[in-house]
Formats: sequence, C-alpha cells, structure tokens
Amino acid sequence: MLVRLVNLIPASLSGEASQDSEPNIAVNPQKPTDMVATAFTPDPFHGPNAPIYVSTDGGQTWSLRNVVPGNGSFGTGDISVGFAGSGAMLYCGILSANAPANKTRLQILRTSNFLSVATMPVLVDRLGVDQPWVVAGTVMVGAAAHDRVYIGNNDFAAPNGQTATVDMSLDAATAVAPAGFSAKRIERAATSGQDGPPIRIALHGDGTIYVVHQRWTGATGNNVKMEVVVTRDDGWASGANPFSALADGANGSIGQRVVKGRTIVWNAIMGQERLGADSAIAVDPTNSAVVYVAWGDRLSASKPWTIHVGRSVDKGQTWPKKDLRTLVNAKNPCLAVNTDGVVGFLYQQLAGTGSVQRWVTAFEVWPAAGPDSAAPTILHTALAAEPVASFHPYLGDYARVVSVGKDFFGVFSGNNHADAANFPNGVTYQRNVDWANRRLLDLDGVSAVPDSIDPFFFHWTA
Amino acid sequence: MNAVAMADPEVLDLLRRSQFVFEGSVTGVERSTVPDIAADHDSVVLRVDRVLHSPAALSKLTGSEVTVQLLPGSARLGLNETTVLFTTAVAFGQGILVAEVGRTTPEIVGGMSMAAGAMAVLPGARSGRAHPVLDAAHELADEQLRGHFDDVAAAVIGRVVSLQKAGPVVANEHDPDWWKATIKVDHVEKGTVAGRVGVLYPNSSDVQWARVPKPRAGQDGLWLLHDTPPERVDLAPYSLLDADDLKPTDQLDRLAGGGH
Repeated sequence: MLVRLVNLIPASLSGEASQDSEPNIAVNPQKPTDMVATAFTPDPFHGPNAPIYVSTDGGQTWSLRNVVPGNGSFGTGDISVGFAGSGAMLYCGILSANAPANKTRLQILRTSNFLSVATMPVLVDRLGVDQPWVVAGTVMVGAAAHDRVYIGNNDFAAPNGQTATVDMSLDAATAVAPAGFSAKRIERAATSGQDGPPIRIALHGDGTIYVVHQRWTGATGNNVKMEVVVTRDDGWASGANPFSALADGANGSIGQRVVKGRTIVWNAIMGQERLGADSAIAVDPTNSAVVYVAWGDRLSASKPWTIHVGRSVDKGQTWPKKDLRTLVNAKNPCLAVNTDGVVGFLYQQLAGTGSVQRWVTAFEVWPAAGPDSAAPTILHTALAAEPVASFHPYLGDYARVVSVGKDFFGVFSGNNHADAANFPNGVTYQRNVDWANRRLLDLDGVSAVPDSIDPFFFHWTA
Repeated sequence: MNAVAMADPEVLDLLRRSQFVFEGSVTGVERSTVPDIAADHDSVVLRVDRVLHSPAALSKLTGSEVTVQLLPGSARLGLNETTVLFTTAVAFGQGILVAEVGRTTPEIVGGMSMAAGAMAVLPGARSGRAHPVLDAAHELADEQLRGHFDDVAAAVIGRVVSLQKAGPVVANEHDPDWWKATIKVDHVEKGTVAGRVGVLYPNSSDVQWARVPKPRAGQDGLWLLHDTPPERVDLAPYSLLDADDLKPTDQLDRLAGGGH
C-alpha cells in the first residue's frame, strides 16, 4: 500500500526550476522517520556547499541543508548516501564539483548528525573515480559497534582496466580520515579497458556481501559488449582476499557471470535520457542465499533497451531465473527485499510513441515466489519531451529503493508538471502549486514557474 | 556603457561574502521558522521588506519571513527594528534559514533592488543616483571577469567558421567528447594568436560538462581560451573549459578599462 508520494522541493524554494535529477536515499534503520535524500540540486544561493534533503517525519516534509562540499552549477556531481545500521552515522560518497578539468573527484564524507548545518568532513579524496554508491551496516565486535561501510565505484586508476572497485572500512564511525577506508578491486578478469559505471552492493546482517558489476569485454565505437558479474564475500570482506567467495561455474575465475555477450549502445538516447548503465542488486534479509539482480542491455545493437531481473537461491552460483521480469524501453531498476522476503521493484519506462511518449514510474511488490499478475502501482507519468533537458542524466543514471522492516522507501526524479492526472495514486507538493490551472507558483503565490525535473519520495508498506 | 560610481568598499566586502541581501523588519527574536532547527540567542525572524540582491529563485521573497542566525557577538536586533542584512544560506524548508555576514542601514543601500545575474540597466536606475548594492554587484562581476581574463592564456574576438569531432569515442559517462572549433580571429586582447585558431571544447551534455560553451557555426563572441594540456595539444592549442569562457563581444570594454 502506498503510504505517501511527496515532491521533495520545499515551499521556500517554490521559485526553483533546476533539473534535480539522479536521486538517492538513506533511511535510518533504527529510526526510519529520519531520512536523507540527494539529487543534482545546486545550492540555491550558489554558495560553496551543495545541499542534502532531510526529513524527520517519515518523508512528509523535507528541507535542505547546505553541507556537502563542492557545489557546482548543478550541485555536486554523483552523490549517494547511507546510514549505518545503528548509531545514526550518515556516510556520503560524492563526485565533487571542485575537480580539475577532465577529472572526476571522489570524496567520502561522514556526519554523526544528519540535521547538522556544518560542512561534512572529508575522509577520502581521490581523482579519476566514477559513480560512488554507498551501503552501510553495523556489527558488534565485542562490546563495540563497528560501522561497516562499502562504497562501490568505478576507479579509472585501477591497473589493467579492472576498474570495478569497492572502497570499504570495517570501522568507519570515529577514526580520523581516512577512517579505515581502502580500495578493494572487484574485477579480476580481463576487460576491454574498463568496467561499466555501476558497481552495486547488497549487504546481509550475517556478513554476506554481494557486489554486481558490468564487465566490459569489447567495444567498437559506442557499441559495448558486456557481462553481468556477481562477486561475494561471506565475512564482511574482512579477510586478506575479499570478495573472492564466488567462482564462475564455467571457467573458475572470481565472480559468477549472470549473463554474457550482451550489448550496450553507449549514450543512446531514449525519452531525452541517456542509456548504458542500469544495475541493481538486493539480498533477502531472511535468507542470505537468495539474491536478486537487475540490469539493462540489448540482445543486439538494433534491439531495444531492456531491463531484466534475475534471481539466485544458491548464493549467486547459479541463475536459473534470468528474466523474472523483463521490461522493454525501461531504465533505473531498483531492488530491495523486506523482512518478509517480499521484493520491491521500482523502474521508469518510456511508454507510447512520438510526441505523446511518457515516462512512467512504477513500483511493484512481489511475493518471495516471484512476480505474480498483480499490476504495478503507477507513481508518476508525464510527457517525456518536457521539460527540455539541460544536461544528462535527464532523470538520472539511477534512482533508489531501500527497505526497513516490512516497508519500502524510494526516490525517483521526474517532470514536476502540476497535473493531478500525472499522479494516479496521489501526491503531495510542498512547493507552491495551482492544481486547478496546472501551474507551479513562485514564492509570491502568483507568478508562474516553469516546469522542471524534481525528486520525488515514496513510502510503501506491506 | 553607463558610468557607474565606485562601489562602497564596505558594501563590496559584504557582498563578496554573501549571496542574499535584503531589507527586513524584525518580527521575532530567539525564534525560528525552520521547524527542525531550534532557535537560540542569535536567532531572529525578519519579514523581508525588499530583496536587494538574490539568486533568481528567491527574488520574489518580499513579504515572507526569514530566520537569520546573527553573527555571534553582534548587536542584538529588537522587535520591529529595520535593517539590511548580507547573508549566506543555511537551510531551506517551509521557511528559510540564513546566516548573517554583516549588516548596514536602509539609508546606506538606497532604493534599488536587483536579482543575481541582472547586469542590465534596471528600472529605477538613473545616472547620479547612488545604488551601493547594485554598484557592488557590478564591480564584483567585473572583478570576476577580469580575474578570469587573467587566468586564461588568450582572449580573442572572433567568429566560428568550422566544427569537427576531435577526440576519440570513449564510453564513459563523464567523457568530455572533445570537438574542435576553428575561430577566425578579428581582434586579439591577450595572447599570441593570429588568423584562425583551433579551440577544443567538450561537446558532452553530461552534468560535468554541460555548462561549458558549445560553439555554433557562425557564432561571434569574446572567447577566453585556456592552453590545451600536452596530452591533447596535438588536437588544438586552446580549449574551452569554463562556463565563463564565452562572453558577448561588448564585454571587451569591461576587460579593458575596468569600467562598465
């Protein structure tokens, strides 16, 4: 059941018209009314820090804190957040906008108070890294709580083009920078020069960690051949050779290939959005042997971009179900599993043709047995041609869903056009809006504001 | 160009360190309009009577209440007191929380309002009338332009005569996708450039590069050019790397004289 869908832009920013794309979310598992969300949102004052969105009432209302160093024209670069399992420490991975020309700059940040207005301190600062993705947990070591933090990233400084990497710390909460963080290479096989951008992580409370990455095996121009590869560690990646527990059943190399020989047409455009790097992974909290993976590919360059969802019930060794769900012309798959083993699946799909094409954002929940015939819940639908993109990604190279207990919490970005018909299950706008005349309104409550891309939050309870 | 008075040094210093300037009247002390940030001894709420300098998204804030964290140790403000505050952003929610950088009096700032980026002659502006915030904003913009001019290797006025892809295809989200613009140079303000010059620019629409100018065929402009680093210099000697690397040709006067 959908509890709420909320536009994150607060009332005091009713005049903004930025492209707030590529959202991310963290929910405090000990107090799930406390949340942090992010997007390509610049500081409205054009100051030195980019904002995060915070909520303390379960996502009913959101406000911004300018606490992320490295604000640029569109906020910081890629940004991802995660709360520790206990203790409420917030971890953040960003690509700083304060980077040398032609370089990306990874920074890992930390704060013990997500509501603080102080700039988040930097723990790690490294050039040449793409798309950080933060996952965190907490484990008791004796009487002490240790925050285990894993940040997937694509590190172009890695040797031999084996770029899939996880920066990790086994006790990140209190130590001074770099707080125990070090880079672990996930890729062990040959690549065509790099792996794909998304390196996604699923963490289980028994210490099992899954990582999925896309191994690029060949490239001709923009046509890339790739394999979807799952690696695993069974003890918090604390051993001497982390992420090596899973060997490919066919050739024995580290990492099990879920599929191989799939095609990406890099930077192909669909509904104003670029394509090429969709990926998600989730583990069943009731059984660490059950793991789900989603990815995007084409069967050949002329075939449509398609999202697939696969499942393994033997800790990633075999993938008999590679298409539990198959969605043509879709992107941004997001997976989470709740404490009943129920799967939450979010995606954004381009529907229709020509000028009436629409981006449709939908959420599905499946029983542990797999998808049934239940219809997806449409969260949002809007014309794909409006507003005109000011940069890529238009909606985001990713969105995100997380689970806490039986509940799912997610974020996606979309056209904020104020038409109630675009939200068939309802929505709450914090910013000023004139629903009767389908207009956004400025702070004066009178002047119209142009449509733009906004981040949206949803809460689903089983 | 219009002659504009030199900016008041104090206003200039305050504006350099702030992003939102407004005239307001105190409606509450030790109170906050941002629910999840508690008020303290330094918190006051003001009704915005006049926006003097702001980003566009907040230019219509007149009549709204804003919470201000006063500078620690600064003079307290009393209820109904009117002042002009220079501020930076702290938080945005149902209300706005800003931090004071400094303050002055309404008499000092005169009767002009402006939004960030509004550099043209504004309604109400006329020769001989003092507009210290506007003057300071102009002076800061000129200072920024001249600073950028000092940083680049060459500055020319010219027209784009051809465009061609220059770099390899790289399958990376943040790849710049280098293209080369050939510019026919009509005037050299800085550097040793003559005739036609090759200029690399990132044609990518990626978030990392979207703000950098994308030259169009036949486009005229004042081009502020960076040296191309050695690994790409064989493609072209100069590069566009910054949002401010292309200006209208009439901005040349601001570089030359420091005037407006």
